[in-house]
Amino acid sequence: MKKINLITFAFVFIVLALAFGSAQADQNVCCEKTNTGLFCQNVPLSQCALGAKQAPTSCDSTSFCKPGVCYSPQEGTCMDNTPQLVCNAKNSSWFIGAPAQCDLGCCILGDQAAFVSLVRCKRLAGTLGLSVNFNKQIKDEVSCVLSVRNQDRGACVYDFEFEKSCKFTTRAECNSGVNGTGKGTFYQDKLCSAPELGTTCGKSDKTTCISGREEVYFMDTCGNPANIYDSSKKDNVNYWTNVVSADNSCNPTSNNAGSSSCGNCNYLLGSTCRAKTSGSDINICADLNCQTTSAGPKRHGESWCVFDDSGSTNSAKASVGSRFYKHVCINGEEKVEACADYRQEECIQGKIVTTSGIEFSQAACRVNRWQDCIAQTDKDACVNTDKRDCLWKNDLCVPKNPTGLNFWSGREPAGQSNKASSNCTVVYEKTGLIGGVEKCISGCECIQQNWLNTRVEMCNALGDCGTNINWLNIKGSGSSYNFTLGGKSKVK
Amino acid sequence: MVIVNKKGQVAIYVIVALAILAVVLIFLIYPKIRPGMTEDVSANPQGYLSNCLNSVIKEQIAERALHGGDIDPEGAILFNNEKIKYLCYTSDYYKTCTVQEPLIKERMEEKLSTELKAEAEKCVDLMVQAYEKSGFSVSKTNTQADVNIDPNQISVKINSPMTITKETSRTYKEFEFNFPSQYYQLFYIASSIVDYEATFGNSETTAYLVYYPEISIDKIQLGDGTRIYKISNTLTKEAFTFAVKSLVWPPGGYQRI
Repeated sequence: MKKINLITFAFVFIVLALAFGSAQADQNVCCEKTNTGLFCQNVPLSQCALGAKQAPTSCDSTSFCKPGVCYSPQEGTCMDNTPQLVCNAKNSSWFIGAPAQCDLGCCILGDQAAFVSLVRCKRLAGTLGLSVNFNKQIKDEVSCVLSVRNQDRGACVYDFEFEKSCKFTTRAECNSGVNGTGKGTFYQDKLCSAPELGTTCGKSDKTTCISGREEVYFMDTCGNPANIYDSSKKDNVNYWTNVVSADNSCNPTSNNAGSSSCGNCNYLLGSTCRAKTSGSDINICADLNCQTTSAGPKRHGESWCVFDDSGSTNSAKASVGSRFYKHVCINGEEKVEACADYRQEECIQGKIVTTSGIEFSQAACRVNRWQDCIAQTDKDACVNTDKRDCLWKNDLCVPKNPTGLNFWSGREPAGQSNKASSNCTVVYEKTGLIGGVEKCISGCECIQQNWLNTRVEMCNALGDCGTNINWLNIKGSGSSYNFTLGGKSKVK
Repeated sequence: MVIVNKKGQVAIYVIVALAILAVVLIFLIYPKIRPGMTEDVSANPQGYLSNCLNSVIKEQIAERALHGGDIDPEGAILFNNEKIKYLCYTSDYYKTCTVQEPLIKERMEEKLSTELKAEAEKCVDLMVQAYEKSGFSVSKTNTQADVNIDPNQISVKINSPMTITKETSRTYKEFEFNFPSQYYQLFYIASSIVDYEATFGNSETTAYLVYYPEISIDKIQLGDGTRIYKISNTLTKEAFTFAVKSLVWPPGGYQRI
């Protein structure tokens, strides 16, 4: 008897130990490093690397994987949502919250600006050979960019090795000293090649592209940019004396793409300064627009939505496997960006009309807010586009673009599709005592084909449920719904 | 019947002799153009090392850039038969990613410096052999390499103190040279995209193209929520590819955690 008890106890112990072990292995933990080499992930215990720290809680709550800010003193950059573990490069520092070093301000770099940290500003200024001009009072990027828009620009004349040299720059830079010399004399809206300044700089046939500007510029013999390239004015003394704005330069309303006579490129019209061929010192306005795309000619930067899978959109019915795509025209090339799979994102499109009357389309992948449609019982709440993407159909609120389901694995599709299941009580009355006929007296609509069709539609509207086609327009096989009447099943 | 013009023959012989003499004189006066001595170490040891390491460093950085920073990365996704490293990843639904590599440029510099050390040693040894062949005696110590990825260039410092002696002695402490490159810009944009993904999820790349007209960004969305980014410079053809998985929406209403 004792032996049997012992065996029973051992058996129960083994079963419990196995069950406990298995539960432990499946338990989600915050893992310092996973088997696949990823850091600080919430994964099942079995996926945690041998010897890696772990805790049965979310990584946000642990000491070893707490996200913080990784700061690079070399570049002055700050990276958010970073665990200390991976912020371990030479000289890098990790902080729980953003340190003062990450505070942003306006970095003025000649006639351009960047909204960056002070160290980053020093790095950029050093790279460009400029003095550091950092204004932490400016708190947003737009104000920062605008602050340099209306800076005075002109010729800064200074003495260098017993000669009168010149740099085309801003008044601020000129006053703070250029090229390691003292303060220069600033001549607003004058070019360095202006004969009256008597500098060593003169006109030349060379052109240049300037960082942050789209036009092709003449370059003087000192390497300073002059006015916008215009072949008809290459020997015009006045054109080499005073600054001429882009609006008053050649063909201001055209993008001048490919023109060999005018360098007045316009980025918004789809051109920018580029070398004619790789390594060439001849610069032209390169065409950035897309002459042919799936939606006809498009401008550089334009984006638009494409749904070219079978099925329809915004009608509470979507084909299985279909998804939204955003197309973009960039540098003369049509690029395709897929929105999230399973129609968890949908593509939305709008357009703006520029001051010159040109329509410019813009598209974006946006989260599909289908989740609470079925819970809405009121039509107004259902179609409230501020809150959700739903459609009022047959007195039910359904997603405009039903979600896709991972129907080939797990029970998930059944759970979702079951929401479309419906019971309808049909009452019959039998007339006559013998051989009488049954007559429907209530719930009769439920035995009409129309009712069944509506339920099938509802089923489709909830996701990849019921009878449907796939994105290639191939109809699915197998049973799609079960209709039971009077205990008799009718599977379709 | 063959008519032989003797005067003409003599003239040809004289011309050929003069040509030979000219060639010999050129080689004697300008030893640099002797065949087999195209890389004259005595004239320019720095140039010799630069030539030796130029292609090596370009290949190494391109290979690493193709896989998100590592040659055989851990924490990667297989895409088009290439392992692409996740620079930001989350295994959770509805959450932004945790940064896996916050200092892309710095890490690349560290790895390249380590890798280049071995190559630099080989190049220095070859250079020493070339010197010794030319009758120099060379004394040197250990070689260290330091790679810096800077705006518009990659600068390489080979710290290999050496003294080269023939009639006089010349001492070198280190050799420094630069290669034009736009990788700095690519890594900076990549950092910005990773920061955006870690903070907000799914980055909007069109804005970068306004600021960097010579840059092209390809974003490929995979079924599991992974996004593959390929940032390339359209002029230099340099490219950096990496993967991100952030703010993933599950299929249907299913949530794993």
